[in-house]
Amino acid sequence: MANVGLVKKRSQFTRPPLAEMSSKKKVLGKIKKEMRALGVNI
Amino acid sequence: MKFINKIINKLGNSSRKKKVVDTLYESIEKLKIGIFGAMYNKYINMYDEEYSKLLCGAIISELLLEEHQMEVVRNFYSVNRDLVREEIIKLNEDEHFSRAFSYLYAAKIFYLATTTGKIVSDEGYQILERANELRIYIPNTYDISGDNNMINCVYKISEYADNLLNQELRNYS
Repeated sequence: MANVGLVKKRSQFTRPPLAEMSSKKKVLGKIKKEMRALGVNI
Repeated sequence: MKFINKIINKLGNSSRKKKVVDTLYESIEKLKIGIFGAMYNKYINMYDEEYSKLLCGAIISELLLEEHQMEVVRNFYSVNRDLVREEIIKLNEDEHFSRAFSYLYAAKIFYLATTTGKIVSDEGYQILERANELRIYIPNTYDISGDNNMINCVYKISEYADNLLNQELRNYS
């Protein structure tokens, strides 16, 4: 029981919002696609 | 460099070695994408979209001695080889790019050392030569992690690569 206070609630995790993660993924995919189209090994 | 050799030998074929190799491989990919994004954001304010992309692609290949696989880039490079090199030297005067180039080279050298088991493999030697030609500083483990522990250094490179990639993904236009 002594460790109960150490458990983080879901809301306490500092994960970026889903919308931001999704937007980054899209940009990452776009850059990779452009780099591959230029023949860069990625 | 002896301590790097010791660590490479100590890693042997362990799962730890695989983790180091994978981390370095991922870091190189992230650094390449981050550098590409940063350059594109700079060049798009100076040139048109196609020229900016071709220049970025040619620079990445030039930095890492990768062959230009696409004809359009090969043609661009054959006409603009001097310009590509001049641009790298110019970018290297900017602290942001200079740091990114240095980490990219450090990651590549460590990756080659870990995968080949040689401190300087043939490819590693060519990479070192290229860095000299382009006046890019290759940092040692003390520069990167403040100690002579290669594992800490790999961790720091990975952290830097993550930060650069995240930053450039936010800025990419």
